[in-house]
Amino acid sequence: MSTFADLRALGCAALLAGLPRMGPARLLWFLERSTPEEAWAHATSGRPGALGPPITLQPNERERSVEEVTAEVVASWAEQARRDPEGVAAAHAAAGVAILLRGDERFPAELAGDLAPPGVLFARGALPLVEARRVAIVGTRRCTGVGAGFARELGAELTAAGVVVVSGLALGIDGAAHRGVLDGGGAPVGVVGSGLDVVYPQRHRALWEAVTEHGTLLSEAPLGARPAAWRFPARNRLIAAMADLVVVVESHEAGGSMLTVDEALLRDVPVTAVPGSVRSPASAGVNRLLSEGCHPIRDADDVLVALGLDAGRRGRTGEQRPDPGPVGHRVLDAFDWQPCTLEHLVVRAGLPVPEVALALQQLVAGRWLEADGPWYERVARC
Amino acid sequence: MLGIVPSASLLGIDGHPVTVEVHVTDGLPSYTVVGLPDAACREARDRVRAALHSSGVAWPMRRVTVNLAPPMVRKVGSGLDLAIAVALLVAVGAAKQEAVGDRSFLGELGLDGTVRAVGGTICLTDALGDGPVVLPAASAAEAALVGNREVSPVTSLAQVLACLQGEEPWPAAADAPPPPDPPALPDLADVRGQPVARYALEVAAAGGHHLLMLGPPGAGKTMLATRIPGILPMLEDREALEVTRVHSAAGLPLPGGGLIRQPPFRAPHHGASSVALVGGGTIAMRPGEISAASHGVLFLDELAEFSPHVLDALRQPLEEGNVRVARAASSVRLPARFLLVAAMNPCPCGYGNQPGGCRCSEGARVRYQRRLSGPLLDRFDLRVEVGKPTVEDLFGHERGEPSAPVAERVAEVRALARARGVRSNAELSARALDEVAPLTEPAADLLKEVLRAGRLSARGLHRVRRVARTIADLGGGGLEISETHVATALTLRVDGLSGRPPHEVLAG
Repeated sequence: MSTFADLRALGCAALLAGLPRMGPARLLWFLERSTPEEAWAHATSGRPGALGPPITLQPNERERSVEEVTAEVVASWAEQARRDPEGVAAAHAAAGVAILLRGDERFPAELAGDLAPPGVLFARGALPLVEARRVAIVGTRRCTGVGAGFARELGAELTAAGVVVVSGLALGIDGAAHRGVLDGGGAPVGVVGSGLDVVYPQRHRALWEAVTEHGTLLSEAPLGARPAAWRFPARNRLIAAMADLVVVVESHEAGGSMLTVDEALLRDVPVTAVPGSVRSPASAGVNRLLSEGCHPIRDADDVLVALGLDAGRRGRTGEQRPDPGPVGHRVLDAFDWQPCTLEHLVVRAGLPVPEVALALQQLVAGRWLEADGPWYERVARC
Repeated sequence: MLGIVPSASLLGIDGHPVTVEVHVTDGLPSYTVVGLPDAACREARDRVRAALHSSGVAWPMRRVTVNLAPPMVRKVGSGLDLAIAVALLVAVGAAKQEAVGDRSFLGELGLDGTVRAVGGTICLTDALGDGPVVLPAASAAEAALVGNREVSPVTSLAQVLACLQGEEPWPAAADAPPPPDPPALPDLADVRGQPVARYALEVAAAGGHHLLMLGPPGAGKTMLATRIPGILPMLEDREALEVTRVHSAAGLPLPGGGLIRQPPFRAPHHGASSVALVGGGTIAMRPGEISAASHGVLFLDELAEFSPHVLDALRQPLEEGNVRVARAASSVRLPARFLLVAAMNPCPCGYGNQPGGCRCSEGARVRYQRRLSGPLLDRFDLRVEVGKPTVEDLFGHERGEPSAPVAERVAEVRALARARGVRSNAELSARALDEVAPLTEPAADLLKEVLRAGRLSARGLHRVRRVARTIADLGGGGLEISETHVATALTLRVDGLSGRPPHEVLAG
């Protein structure tokens, strides 16, 4: 039930958030000093101070002067003056996207009080967010089958324990975590770096819809905003800010999840990591975190304990896996916990190809192994 | 005066009979050729004129008209030179039409009157009438392959003139020397280690199943591919004749003039155009690499580097075993029944052979994999990962099993397939599979589960069954297909490319 005045304010805020070079800090500067309407008028005035704090040159602008680039940006912002704030607000409402300013009761409290709060939030789905413990599950896009499987299971088990899972809807670990929450019938919370109508990555179109339908989707970017590179570190800080605990499932030495870890540490949010094989590049980052003192996570119980919740020894029935049999054992022994191809196993087990093939199919069916293309990986379960 | 001489011209791999008529009459000296000659045919005038002069006959200063009948078929190449020269000789009265009789003439003329070899001789000879054939001595051995034919090998126009004038008898074909032993094919014993790749090679050769090898550079994929002809059975007469015709028409060298008995191995470079691959180049509709690979192996190294357009052109031949090439004036159907073997890296950076180790950007990897359309990838019944040989393998003392025993096993399986009425197990129809490859219950259960998990399509199901049939044959025959056979067939059919995009969110 926004009044006309409110609609205008929301529209101005959305337009501000969509201006080029309007990062979170700059947007905050504007919205802290004045109302959205005043801020919009100032930004599009074309006057020298219209940009707020001084801009910094981007790497591809090194040869130019700050004054030159500033003048350009001022002009490009002034061109936007003719945009219609009420129309933009109406468009967002029509798309089911709520524009949240910091006074709004639906604005997540922990973000409002954050050390680098977002000036505007765009949200779709269930609002306000359910009051519950929140765990951020993050990791690399280039994960292994085992890592993704773990993230999915963790998502489902934490959901069953009443914990809310937050992640970024990226390929790999993020997507698996969300899917796990959906498996468990829960409400996933996704924070993305593009406008809520700009699905990124494309492959997650169905997941995007599912998260919106069953949970909540948040972004600092207005409708139509492209997934620019700089928006992702910004988005990672929101994930860290919303979490009571961060779980890194798999990460290479450097990557987006490491940025999320840094943001979490800045906010005194505990960071935990899932150990992986020291030979797997996808676990290099998490293993480093562990060596630097992060708490290890082996299963959902560890997460619940780290949150201070009663793990309740939920009595994992330890799904009975069928006995592998003599050939199966020989093949499993040839594994040594590295991902292997058929060739490795045939050579190490010293058995003919058809026998190994049959054993592999049976082991995969019995959940002793996971198959990923030509690679087979051992799966451990208590 | 008119001279009429039978000859032939090449289109695709078939010769077409051509009747060369030369008409000489009074009038301003001129030379006209009709009958859709190509550029080489048109140039015959200069060759024939010089050859005649070298043989002591003057070119008539009169109106010369050459007709290459039938008029609506394009005439190609220089093989009609000799026929034109002989018809001209008759037309100017230097020889009698009766001396020509029912003899056909084939051959290119050099300016000094030498009669030179003509490409596609075996195809051309096949198209001629029953009479004796006069052709270049260099092509005589090839022509002799075409069954009962009186062949007169000649070396010069002067000799032909002498025979026409009755001064010399027409030369008879010398007994063909025995064809030389074919060169030894690369042997499997050179391959060290790599048991899965060897096994896949055997299955591919035995059942005619197309094979894709995935692996980093240096894994030995090319070495493995070149070993396949050595384990395939030698070509039988009918196959050998077809292959020899294709190679002759394509201008490829024939072994010592005999039939080609070794299964051909063709490895076109990935920069090849689709015309070079599929055929139809030049007006003669020359056969391409896929036809030259008929009854043998077509090896596509660096499969992802081939242009998608070129790969797309392979789909119909893979399906039907022949390729129809059409141009404005004519169309031909060329044989193209080959074993397709391909090699590729799993992703552009080459490190994609370890899960989580690929360094390519998402876009680069997706673009790379998109180059291979799903339907083409689906044609490969065997998709195996080939890893680099280890240091132990390379320096170990154990040589692998040599080609000879493997070839024997392959030949046995091929014989079993023939007994089932097909050339190879890969050609078994879905209905035939139920009859000759029934599944045991555990085998059927395994397939059902894989189908339910969405890891196999209906078409994939039949392909797996065919491969399972071959695996069962290699394992000693027996009618029923067991769970082991099916499991092996599934495992040799890697799902997707390694280093594929990480565990994406799959539906359901």
